Amino acid sequence: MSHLDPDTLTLLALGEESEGMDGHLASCGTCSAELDELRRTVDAGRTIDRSERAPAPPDHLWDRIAAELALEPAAAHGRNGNGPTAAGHSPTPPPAAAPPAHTAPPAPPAHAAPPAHAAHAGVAAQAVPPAQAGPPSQAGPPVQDTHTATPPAQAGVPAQPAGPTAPADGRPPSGPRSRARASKRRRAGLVMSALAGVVALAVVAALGLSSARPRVVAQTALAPLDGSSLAGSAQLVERAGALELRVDLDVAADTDRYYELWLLDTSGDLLVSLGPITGDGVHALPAGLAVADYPVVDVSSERFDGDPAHSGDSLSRGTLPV
Amino acid sequence: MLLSRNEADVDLVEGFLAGDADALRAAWDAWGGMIHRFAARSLPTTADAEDVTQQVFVDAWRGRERFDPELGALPAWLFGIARRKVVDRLRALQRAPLPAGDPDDIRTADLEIERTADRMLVADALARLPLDRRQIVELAFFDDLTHTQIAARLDLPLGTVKSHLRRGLATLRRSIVTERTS
Repeated sequence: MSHLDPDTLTLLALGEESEGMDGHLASCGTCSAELDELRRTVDAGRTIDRSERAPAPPDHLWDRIAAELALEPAAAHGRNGNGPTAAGHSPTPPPAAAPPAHTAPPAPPAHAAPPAHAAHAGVAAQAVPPAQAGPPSQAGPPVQDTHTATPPAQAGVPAQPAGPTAPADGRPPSGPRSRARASKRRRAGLVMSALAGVVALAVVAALGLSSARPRVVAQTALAPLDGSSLAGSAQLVERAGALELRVDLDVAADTDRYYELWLLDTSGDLLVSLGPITGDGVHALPAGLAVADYPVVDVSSERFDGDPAHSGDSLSRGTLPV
Repeated sequence: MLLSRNEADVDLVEGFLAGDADALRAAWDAWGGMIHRFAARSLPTTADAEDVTQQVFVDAWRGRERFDPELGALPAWLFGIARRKVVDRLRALQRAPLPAGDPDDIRTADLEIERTADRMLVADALARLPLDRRQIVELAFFDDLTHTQIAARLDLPLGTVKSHLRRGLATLRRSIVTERTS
């Protein structure tokens, strides 16, 4: 007797294709046991509380565990996104992708109400041709960027201006397997480009919920632009549920100008001011800001002219791999 | 939930089995909150929940050679330990229904604990599915679309949708069934 094929069992577990299978299932223990487990999975999935997010585990509890196990201090201090971690065993851990892989809140981020809506909006949006699918920031990265073996957090990164820290260069090369997968998926490129952007946002939105310990989500060098020598670096850090930008910058004191920190979208059309900057400093990001939409860190030179707009005089820039 | 997840998980599991304490820490970061919440929901006091959560990770670490990645995912294994700890604690607290006796009631209570664990594990595994697969599974789970409707909505071939559903469900299933076999 031949067994039901896995696709059929899957659809049965999901409640499709019930006709004609009962006879076999009644007489075949293997298939019915298989189906039982798949149904248990589907039942669990369909009853997920989509609004639930498990909180970060209490730090003091980890301290108790580490103490009971007498762990070495290095491990007991845990990971900060830069330190030696399990994910860090990969040859060149992508700064944005690796930490969330382990620290995303157990309840799926996109299940939270707002991201879920966004995700479904994304699904709907890609049903129409991309030209009509809304602004690029919602439609996700250009198609050629989405040979979708890339992790979503990176697939969601808009095309990077070539810069000293273009993050795409830093990730591990795709293996043959993922390349094979990539070609299979290429046909779905448009769909995925839309989805990838949306989920990248969901990931970023969820980052703030995962941990109380400061954790580097992404970082970039700030490279001087034409005619400027201003250089430094910026780290996007998640701390106590909020995102902040830690900037390390060599700012020369000046009395008739000041410097201002901005986040821009990749086209430079949209910008959010994070305020004046006097050198090294920590700048809180407005809650709810979708960093994936504003990945470019920009430092401008501003006059004391009372005009809150960007002067157009950018001195230094870098792009966060979010 | 990133596509790099598989590689990262392999690293985590390898590190865990090799006794790399950083891997335990990574597992704590990834699933400690879930285990803790599960314990907090199932047990009467914060102290009980914290004790059990601590025991789960301590036992998991000390007994890590018993974890067989072939049998299931690490979080499922951790949850298997957590479920046993929760049940033990409930019994010790005499909170389990009719501790002396009615097997049906005990089974019902255990089943409820199992369902809670299943939901959390599947939610976690779903969030970690590759993006395209996850979207398709979510449409089947939460929007109750058939595979034909999903294919139409996403403009994908039927076979692609079926394959994603099959492989997605297989991954989710693997996230919950390990404790049966271990």
